[in-house]
Amino acid sequence: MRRGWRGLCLVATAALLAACSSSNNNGGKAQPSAPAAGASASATRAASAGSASATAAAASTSAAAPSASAAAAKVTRGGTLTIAIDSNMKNLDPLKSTLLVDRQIHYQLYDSLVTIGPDLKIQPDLADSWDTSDPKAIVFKLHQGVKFQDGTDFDASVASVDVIDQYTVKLNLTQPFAPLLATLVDRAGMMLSPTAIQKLGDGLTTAPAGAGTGPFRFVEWQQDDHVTLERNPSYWKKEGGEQLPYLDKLVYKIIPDENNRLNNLKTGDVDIAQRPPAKDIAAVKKDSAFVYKDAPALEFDGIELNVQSEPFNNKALRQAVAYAIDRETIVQTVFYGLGVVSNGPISPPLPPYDASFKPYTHDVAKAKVMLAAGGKPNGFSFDLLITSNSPAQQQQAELIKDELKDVGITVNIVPEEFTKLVDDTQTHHFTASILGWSGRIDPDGNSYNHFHTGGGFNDPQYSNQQVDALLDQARASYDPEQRNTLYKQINQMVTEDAPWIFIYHPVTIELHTPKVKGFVLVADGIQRYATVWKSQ
Amino acid sequence: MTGYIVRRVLSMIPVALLVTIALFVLIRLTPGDPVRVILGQEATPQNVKALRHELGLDESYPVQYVKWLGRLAHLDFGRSLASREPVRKAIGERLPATLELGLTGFAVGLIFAIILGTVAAVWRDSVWSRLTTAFSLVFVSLPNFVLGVLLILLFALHWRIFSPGGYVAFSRAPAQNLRYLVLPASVGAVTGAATLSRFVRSSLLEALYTDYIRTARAKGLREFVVVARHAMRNALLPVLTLAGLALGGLWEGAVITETIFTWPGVGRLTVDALGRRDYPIVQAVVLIAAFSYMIANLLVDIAYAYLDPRISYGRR
Repeated sequence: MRRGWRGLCLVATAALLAACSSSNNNGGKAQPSAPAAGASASATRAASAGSASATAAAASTSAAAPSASAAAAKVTRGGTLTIAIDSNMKNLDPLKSTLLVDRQIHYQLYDSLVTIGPDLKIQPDLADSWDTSDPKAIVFKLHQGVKFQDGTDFDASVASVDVIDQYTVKLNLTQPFAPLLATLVDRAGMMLSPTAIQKLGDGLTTAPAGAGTGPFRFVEWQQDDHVTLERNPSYWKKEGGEQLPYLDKLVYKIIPDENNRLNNLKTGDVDIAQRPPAKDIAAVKKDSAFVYKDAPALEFDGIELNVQSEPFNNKALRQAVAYAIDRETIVQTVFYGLGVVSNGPISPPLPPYDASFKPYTHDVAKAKVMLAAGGKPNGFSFDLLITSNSPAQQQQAELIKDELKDVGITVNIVPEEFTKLVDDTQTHHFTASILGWSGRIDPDGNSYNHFHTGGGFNDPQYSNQQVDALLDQARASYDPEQRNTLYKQINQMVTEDAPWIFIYHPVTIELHTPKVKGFVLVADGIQRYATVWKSQ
Repeated sequence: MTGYIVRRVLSMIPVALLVTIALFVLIRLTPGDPVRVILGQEATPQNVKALRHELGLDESYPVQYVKWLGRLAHLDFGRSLASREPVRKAIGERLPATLELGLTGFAVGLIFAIILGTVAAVWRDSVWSRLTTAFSLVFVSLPNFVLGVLLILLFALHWRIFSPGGYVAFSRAPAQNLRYLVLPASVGAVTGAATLSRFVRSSLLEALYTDYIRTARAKGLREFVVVARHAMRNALLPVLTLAGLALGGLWEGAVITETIFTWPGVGRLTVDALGRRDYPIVQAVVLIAAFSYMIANLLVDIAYAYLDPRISYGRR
């Protein structure tokens, strides 16, 4: 009996120990693309979909040799590319999955109706062209002669929409919805073989063999260890007359620890490391053994303020906070310079992004003026929710606390477990909360639900009828120029009203050995390997 | 003996029940909501409510507990909240890797512990004795995670002899499997050897000064026979208790070592499941760990009776 009790205590210790190490693991993941949360966050803030054109190519490049384009150099065929990826997958069925890590695999297995390049412009993929002349319908002309990996023909019968003829489908809408094309870039537009769906059933979620038209086909998935894909020999795309893809095999090694991912790259056990540790980037950039590039991501991070309760129901007080925070210092110290200061929800890769719009600079005097204007010249105090076990957030919050103290505002930092923080913020039980949004490739996905009155992610309960009208208008317009103008306006109005204090946009990172060529960095963070090859 | 075993097994039942209650309550006291983790930031309150209902998490805790216990009685651990795969399958897939790592480390550690402990006891004032004592002291004090990272730094990053982490099944590529195995198994082996060798030493020293050893020596037996046959058999008894406990504790080591070395075993499954608040998986793994302890204890007690004729459990 006595031994039994000892066993029990040890088990409890083991559980606690495991709990600690798990949360440390989460917290330690201070990756530039998901600082707000950690593992659970990168899982949740995933699904990116959206559209439009942009300037993602304005990337900061390291001294190391940039990957040559496949057309310029003599391409080497074959070989296995090994990728260190940060988390086990959950669901390989694009219609059921919600994780970013799943999408890294989906994009190799499946093609969508439309796709994007580095400029985020919508391009033809399985659909050769589309017609939006009727704002309540989109008619797609499908590419002919494509076969699924299981041999099934790809044609109009595959899509569960109105079939006009064998290679023409029509999507009907209840109202005009411009972000639709962008949505179809991602999972919603991915085409699956009906034969495979029938044959595999639930197997589609774990072993989707033959289900896609994509450059690679599924081989195996060893839980928590690796996913292997192999070349689809009958892939329908070519690059400069060369049959794609170039690689024989892709192996995703699942390595949750960020240091271990980088170590594996250093020892040559992997060719590409996703989400490397931010603290090591400066060293990696200088090292000729690696090729490093980054580009601004679609994500925005900041502080949500509850505009329906004291003290932040007062716009001047919100602006006082905005002026008092030194965002540049936060980006440089907490995030190792891997990002840019944010001035609104429209992130740098999106076409309506306006780099010249900088309403808030760090200005103590101005903050004090705003405090006086808000009727609190001697300052006030508020609770700031942050994710527990996130060193980066803790640092960020301490900096903010310090800076606000200079103008007389007292911040009480309240750490909460991430899912509780999200819950409290979404149910409006908060005053201020540090959160982020992973971003979408259409500006609508970064703004509509967040800032429209009653929007699904409008945690601050912000309401501005003018902004509502502009958001509705932009959603209904298929004219890119008009949409750009509208989103610029929306971004300005929202940032000035300050229901969020926008702090920074992180970067998307590309890191591999010099042997890896033909890599294209896209702001959505998905790595596409159809055109990648490996020199010997 | 049989009666004793039966009584011992019966006495495990209340302990097991207490474990299940503690486990069930503790994991639910941990802040965090599995439904939120699964659905993410994008879920509406209706989605959350629907999934909570679907997973049976909207029922009262006593009802959930009783249902869980009912399934356990049929050895059904339920399904993972996150992946929906049966918990038994999830653990079964990762168990071989954990056992390979844990048992290798344990076995190598035990062998070294006996060798080092014996050296330290037999030549107890020599430089070897001091060296083994120093070894024990250093590696008992060094936490697993520091040792693991040090090994990676030296043998993977500096000398590039081994991989910094990874795994391939032995059945698929034996040589590669061993290459991956060396570093993480070393962590277990070194820690185990350091801990146990001290007990081997003290236990053997004690035995070497007993009357029966003097008698054995007086009979003119060779020193090797004296140590190996007479002293060792008695000296190993307390070591066995500790070794048994250490075997039950393989799970703890697995949690840390598997995380550091990207070893796809039950330990990492546990860490991930805790992060996701995947209650069924955490409950199953911790329960199995608790049972390993109980069974290890039981086996140790039985082994005692077998090894030491003076110990009789017939009457008490």
